Amino acid sequence: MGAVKLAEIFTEAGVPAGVFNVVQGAAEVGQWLTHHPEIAKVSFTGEVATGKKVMAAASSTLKDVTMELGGKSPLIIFDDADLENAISAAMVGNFYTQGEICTNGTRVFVHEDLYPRFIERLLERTRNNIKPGDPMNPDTNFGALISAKHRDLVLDYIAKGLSEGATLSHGGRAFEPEDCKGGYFVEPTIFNDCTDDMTIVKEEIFGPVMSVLTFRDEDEVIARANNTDTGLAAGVFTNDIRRAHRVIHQIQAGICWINSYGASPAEMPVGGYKLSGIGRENGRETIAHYTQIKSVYVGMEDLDAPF
Amino acid sequence: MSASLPVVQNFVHGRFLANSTGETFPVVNPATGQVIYEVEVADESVQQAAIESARAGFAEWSAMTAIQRSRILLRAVALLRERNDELAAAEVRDTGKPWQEAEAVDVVTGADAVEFFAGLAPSIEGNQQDLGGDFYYTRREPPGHLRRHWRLELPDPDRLLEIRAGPGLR
Repeated sequence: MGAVKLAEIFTEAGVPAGVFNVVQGAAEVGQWLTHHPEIAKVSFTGEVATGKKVMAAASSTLKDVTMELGGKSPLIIFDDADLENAISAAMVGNFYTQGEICTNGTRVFVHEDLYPRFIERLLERTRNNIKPGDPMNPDTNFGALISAKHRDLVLDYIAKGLSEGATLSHGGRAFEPEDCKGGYFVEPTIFNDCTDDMTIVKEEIFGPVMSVLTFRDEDEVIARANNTDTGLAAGVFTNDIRRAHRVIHQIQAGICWINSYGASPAEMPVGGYKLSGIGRENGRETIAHYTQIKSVYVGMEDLDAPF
Repeated sequence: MSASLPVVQNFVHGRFLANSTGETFPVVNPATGQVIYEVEVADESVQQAAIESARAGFAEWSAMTAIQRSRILLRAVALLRERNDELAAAEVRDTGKPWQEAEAVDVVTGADAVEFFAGLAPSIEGNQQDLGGDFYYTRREPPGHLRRHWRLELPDPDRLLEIRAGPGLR
């Protein structure tokens, strides 16, 4: 409903009729949009698999496309990191909006020297500070997943985490809050003792499931962080200024945070590397993606012609 | 078909437009599992109307100066901020996300994005270079009909829509 309410607001503000239309539907409507010859550009946000179909369909009429697709973004926490802020980043980057955020830092790499303090404090804050419940209650800070189908998908991933040997240290189940029955809630879930080849570490879950891994060397963690087909976002926590920039410059991701996670102001251009998308949105970069250049050459003198 | 549930139609050319087939899909509140309203599918008649509408709207919007477009966008920003809570509540019911988030972030940052693009519009420019006698200049023109993103189970469609709407509306 938000889309049509937005349309009403734009109309009231004076945007001419036709500039902002809302057409609703599923795959058939999507296909019409991507195939129609009069539509010059498509901007899409969603899964990698669907993005490939959108781009293929757009190719039939050579449409311009920008796309923001999925990710399995790394959050790298060095041993000199500010612990409380690093934990805030891990929690926001996995549990905010029930984990349904494409830039989430779902692979949390913690330096082995910091790990014991990190995991203890992370679990403490997760147990004490997450308040699931009726989303309309202003005290609730953790809501329901978008559908039953998605809840089941997330639960399937959790089951894989268990069967592949990760340690479940928090959550893992569907549940019903006291004040809210019938919804699609899954507990904030933390797996540790993860390895890089586990399904939960390789595939985007798009739910409140954090995978915690440990590392020792800088070069090692950079290689492991980059060992993925996607490249949407990344975060680094360290108080060593040279290390922060040195590491982030080597990560193959387009939306990066140092000692922060998640903020995406309109001023900052964002978009993914590798399979995470094409093009950029926000910032002055947007102009390049939403306009086309016409060059006009003006002849002030006689034309050179051999004829 | 449920007679008691509200039906949200497609929005074309400045108003709600009924489809011809009557086909709808249900929207469920993820926190309760209950269907809260139905949405009309954009059938061929709506699709055709949308294309014709976009053609007309594009011509009118393109004929305005950047500063005129900017002023309209800034009016939209003011309305978004005024109606923050109403929009946030709609988001919560559609997505199951906490009110805390929707009230403080979704509409606020969406409005911020539109505000940013309202400021950017008047700065769109081309360049000119002297080639010794002849010269060339560039123009930055809109790419024709811009299609908005197509959403698939996204948690914060309203915010994303504003991000997409902003640049396209410049």
